[in-house]
Amino acid sequence: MAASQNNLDTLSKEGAAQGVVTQNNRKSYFGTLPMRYVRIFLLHFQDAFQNRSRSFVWFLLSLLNPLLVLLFWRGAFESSTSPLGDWSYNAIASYYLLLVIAGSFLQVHIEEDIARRDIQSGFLSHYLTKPFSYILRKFFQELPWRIIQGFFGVLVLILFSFFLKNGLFLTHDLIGIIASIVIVVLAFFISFLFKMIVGISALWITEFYGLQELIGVIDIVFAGFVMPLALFPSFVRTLSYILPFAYMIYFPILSFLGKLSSVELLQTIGIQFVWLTVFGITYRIMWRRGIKKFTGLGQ
Amino acid sequence: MKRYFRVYRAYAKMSLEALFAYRANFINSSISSVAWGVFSFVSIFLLTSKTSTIYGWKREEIIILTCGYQIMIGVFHTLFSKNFGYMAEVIEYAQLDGFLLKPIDSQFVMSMRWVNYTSIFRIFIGLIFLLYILQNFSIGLDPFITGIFFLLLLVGLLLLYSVWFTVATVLIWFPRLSNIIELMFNVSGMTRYPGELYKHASEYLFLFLLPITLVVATPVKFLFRRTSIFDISELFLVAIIFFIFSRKFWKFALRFYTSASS
Repeated sequence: MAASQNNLDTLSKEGAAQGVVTQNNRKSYFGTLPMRYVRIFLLHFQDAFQNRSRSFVWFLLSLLNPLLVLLFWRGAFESSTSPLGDWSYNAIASYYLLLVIAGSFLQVHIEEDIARRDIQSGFLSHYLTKPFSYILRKFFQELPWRIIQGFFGVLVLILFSFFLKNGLFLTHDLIGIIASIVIVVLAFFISFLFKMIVGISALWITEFYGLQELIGVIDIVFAGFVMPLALFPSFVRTLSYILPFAYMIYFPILSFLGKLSSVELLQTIGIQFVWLTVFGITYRIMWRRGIKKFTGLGQ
Repeated sequence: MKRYFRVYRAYAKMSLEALFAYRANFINSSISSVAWGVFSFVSIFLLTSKTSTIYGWKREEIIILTCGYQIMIGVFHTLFSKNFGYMAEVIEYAQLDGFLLKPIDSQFVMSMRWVNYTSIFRIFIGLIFLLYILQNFSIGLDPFITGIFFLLLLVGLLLLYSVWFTVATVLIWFPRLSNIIELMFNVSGMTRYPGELYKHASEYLFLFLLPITLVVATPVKFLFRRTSIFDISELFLVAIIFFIFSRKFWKFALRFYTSASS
């Protein structure tokens, strides 16, 4: 109920800003609001499931690089006894296999759809004239794609775990598992909000390709896609712990590997809340200002 | 032939005009191009910082492989990759018939419509790092070796183009799989690792990825005088076969192209 009230608040405030939702119709969708979003989610799930081959190609994108780097490390482990200090081959293999899941489930890709389809092509006007929150619709549009690709990732993890001599390197501690799930959920929200901000930045810059590419590179380096951030030189590591990218990908993986102490788990959750708040406020300000600049013709 | 040069010059001019029309995008694209170039080196420096030899390749050799990759991929992105994204879009939105009706070769239009000038930065980054590494590790080069190296890179470029075009042609049957072009960016990234990496994983995988393993590795191995005449012939042969195949495959695929009301 609290969630639905929040949804309603978001909806009514955003809608009011757009001149769509009025006090008269506010009550009429109060009771059915969560169900409407469930339906939106299910519709998008059907769409994502229907395009599962497309989803699989997206998944291959998340799969390819971690497996390549893992093969690279395999060569390093064969040439040297312990090239990565306290990271054993099993730990590093588990890291990259979890990275496949994190890359496919936690890395949100809604920004291109927002910038190109909604803003550049003007489809945003469709959303503005309907009694739904734009951000929530986008959330439920993206979620099915993440679930399906994350599922492919889990299948790969299971498949590869049979080939690992000593099995996967995962936490067995119950508190650690619960905290890891919380970290994953928060990471997903941070990733989503961040990509929403990147997407709506097209309201100002129009041609969006360059920004998308730039953020892509920064993300790969500082989220831990190249190698565990702990193995970076100290100044890069410090910088990556300050930036938000590690809290979307790296720390969720580390928590599942059991490489974070209880204090570090709490610290990670705390920092994730800070980023969530920062991105939430930034998105709100950008949306309110940006929407006034939007022009859609003939939609 | 002259007509094609004239058309290409017009395409190049239009691409330049489009680049300057969106200045914020021009700046962001230039920064991201430099960032991707620097990223490749940062990642390979980081990966090789923990070990001196991998699959028989010394650290400096792997870094030079990255230099070769940067030069090659810089040229490829400047001339071709944007066109493949465009080709996927044209096929997905059933606009290809508009191009097929024009009195010009359809493969030419699909491959050469756009020039992505900002990727030129990557070529420079690759060249600068190459010179720096060669000097730092005291690897001597004479004009003959350098000339052959760039010639082999050109052949590698033809091979890479042919692989991309063959894969993109599959979109005629599966237009919704337009994201396969995104995947090809990652597949191209595989050229910056030694072929032995794939051979070690599986002989079948190596055989499947053979064209990819030749694209940059053969020219770079030539710099270290580690190639035989067989390796060089293999690169030439595979590139020519793939190019002919990509052309025939495109012509064949066009028979199956369907669209309505476009």
